[in-house]
Amino acid sequence: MEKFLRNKKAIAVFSVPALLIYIGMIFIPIGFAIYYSFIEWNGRAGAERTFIGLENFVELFTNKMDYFVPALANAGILALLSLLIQLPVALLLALAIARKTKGEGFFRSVYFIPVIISTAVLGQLWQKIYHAQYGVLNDILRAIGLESWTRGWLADPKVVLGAVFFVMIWQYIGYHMLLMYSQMKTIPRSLYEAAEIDGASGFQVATRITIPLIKPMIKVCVTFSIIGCMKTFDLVWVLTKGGPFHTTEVPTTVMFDTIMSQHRYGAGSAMAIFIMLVCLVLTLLIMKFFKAEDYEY
Amino acid sequence: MKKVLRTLALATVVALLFAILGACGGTPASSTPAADPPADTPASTPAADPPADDGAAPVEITVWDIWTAPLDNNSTAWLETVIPEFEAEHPNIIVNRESTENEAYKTKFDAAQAAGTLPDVFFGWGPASARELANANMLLELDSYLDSDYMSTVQPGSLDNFTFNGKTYGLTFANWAAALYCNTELFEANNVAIPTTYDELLAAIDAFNAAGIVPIALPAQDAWTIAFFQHIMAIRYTGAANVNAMLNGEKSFNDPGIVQSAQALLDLVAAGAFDPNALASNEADISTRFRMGEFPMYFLGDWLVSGLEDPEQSSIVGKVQAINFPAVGGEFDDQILGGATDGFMVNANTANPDAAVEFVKWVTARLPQASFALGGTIPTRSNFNMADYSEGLPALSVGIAEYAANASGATLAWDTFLPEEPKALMLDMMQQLVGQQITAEDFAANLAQIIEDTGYAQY
Repeated sequence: MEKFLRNKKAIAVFSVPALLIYIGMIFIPIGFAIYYSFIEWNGRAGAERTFIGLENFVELFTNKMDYFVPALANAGILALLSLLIQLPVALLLALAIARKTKGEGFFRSVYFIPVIISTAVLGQLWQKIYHAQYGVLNDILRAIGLESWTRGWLADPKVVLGAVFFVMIWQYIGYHMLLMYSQMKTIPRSLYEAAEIDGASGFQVATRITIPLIKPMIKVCVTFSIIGCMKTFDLVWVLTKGGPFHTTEVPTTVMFDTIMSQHRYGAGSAMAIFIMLVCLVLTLLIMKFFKAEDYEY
Repeated sequence: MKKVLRTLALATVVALLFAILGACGGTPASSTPAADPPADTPASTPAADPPADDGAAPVEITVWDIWTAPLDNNSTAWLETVIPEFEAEHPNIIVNRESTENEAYKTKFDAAQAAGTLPDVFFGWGPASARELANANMLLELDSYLDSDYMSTVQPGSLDNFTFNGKTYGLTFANWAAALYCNTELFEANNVAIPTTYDELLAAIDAFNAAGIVPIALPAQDAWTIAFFQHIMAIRYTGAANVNAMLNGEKSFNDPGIVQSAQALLDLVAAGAFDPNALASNEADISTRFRMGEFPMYFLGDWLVSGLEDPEQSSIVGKVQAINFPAVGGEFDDQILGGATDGFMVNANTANPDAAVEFVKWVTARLPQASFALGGTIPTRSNFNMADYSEGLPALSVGIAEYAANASGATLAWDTFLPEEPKALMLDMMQQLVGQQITAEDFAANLAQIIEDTGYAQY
């Protein structure tokens, strides 16, 4: 059996079906998207396809009516907020529950629940929470005497971005917490015991032992977080559809509208390819920044 | 023991696989005639129109529609009357029907038109999407099949939205009309008269605001619902014929009537007609809340009627009046926002054009009669006599059908008519009008500009 598994030919043969599916489902569509990004086409099979080179990509930045640049800015803000708020909070929660606290399993599950709820459902839920007349948020504000703070959270262009981002950050805190927590669990207890003997405080243990040793996982979390911010779609779409007045547009909602509503397949594909390239570049940058070292215990 | 368990596990997996494959068959709702027609039997059933293929070999056509279950008048009429009757009268045309729910249908339709896999006959909303398909040579020209006998049964102008460059590419079966739905209970409770003129409308708005009630429901997140107000005011101020000319690219949108219509929308916003947070609500939400009796007025299409009359969905059954949008005292006060936009088209590459066209002609004649009898949907038949059906119909439907039938002109909603880029800009500007971020003059000028920039203008 082992001889069989080690046989390179056997490995190749058994990988071929999955490889074919992967190529067919992922690479070929990407190839088509790249092709479409160089043409102008309205999505009807018999219609003309005019080759226009890089014009679609140039228009991403020059065509103000698409709101692509503001959308990129929004994605950037979201990525920044994730790094500054979501990940630190996830880290703190992971540190808190990794210490064999009471109810460790319970908290682990509870914090993870928003991750497994479908984003469409979460969108509906928060739409009701943010509702100007019936929403729980405004009710609570009124109850504690902060009536002046009540507003149409999803209608007022000044606060809608914050309102949407809050939900997005909140949803995945549990996910990153779980990743970091699982990595923390692999740190051998002997290190903690040694630190305890040496008289290290909780803070020192966290900053000198735990965090450095989960660095590979932090790198993974940062990568997922930033890529996720670039690709995010469903929550924004369900909450605001990119409105009001395009204030909450993210690159994917602009792309969706361009292709589905406006039938501009060339421009939309250029957006998709651009998003993909940005994600690739960011991933490479993150990898370079972290220069992961594997610790041997 | 291990071997037994292994065999059992393998058997279970194989059984599951078969079950999954069976369920994934995804068989379309294919309808076959009750008995196989023998090749040499002539068509024996008496039919209003003789079947196209007389006793010849059966032909198959694939039809896509949006009626999956008998939920409203159209779907019930289609599933329970039209299709069974067609099959009975055309034993040699086998109809393979695939229905997809409305919103999912749009996605399926988009994918099919991009891949070139449209079926023989398909439902569609003209004219924006039909125009592009016609330009891409994907639709069958129907003019050679539409003889003068047939044309005499069709309401004049009802095929305009599927006619491009003088050729007809689709057949319609119903008109829709926009209606101002008034919650009579709220009007009476606050001592407000149902508005028949624009000034009365403004007075009603003031009265409801004074009572702390949001006067007009507006799901502003779905910008086309805002557009309805501007569209109807454009009709009131400059007439449907003018607006249709502009929509066809024959005249410029930079027109005093268009400016006035945008200004009217701005005036409504300034008068407090809508919820200040309207931009956060979508149509599904607002329609439900209107049916729950929250708003006095709602300006939307006649498709709302079935929900308003259904006791399970609405708490205001029988307490709604539907009227044409108030008059401004001009010559176009009887005109409506609406028209014939639902229709069926035939694939240019269909293998059975005769059968496909026969199907389309037959169902577009039969469906509206059957559907109207169940309530609503104004047929596009010139020989249609509403009096035959008015008894037993909800008053709402009859009311709308009456003013729609007597309208001297109509325009469709612009977002179903304009090509893609002007449509996107128009919808954007609608939200800006609600936010009072754009002037009426800029609205008209910008729209005219983009029509010219995208080459759609013919003037």
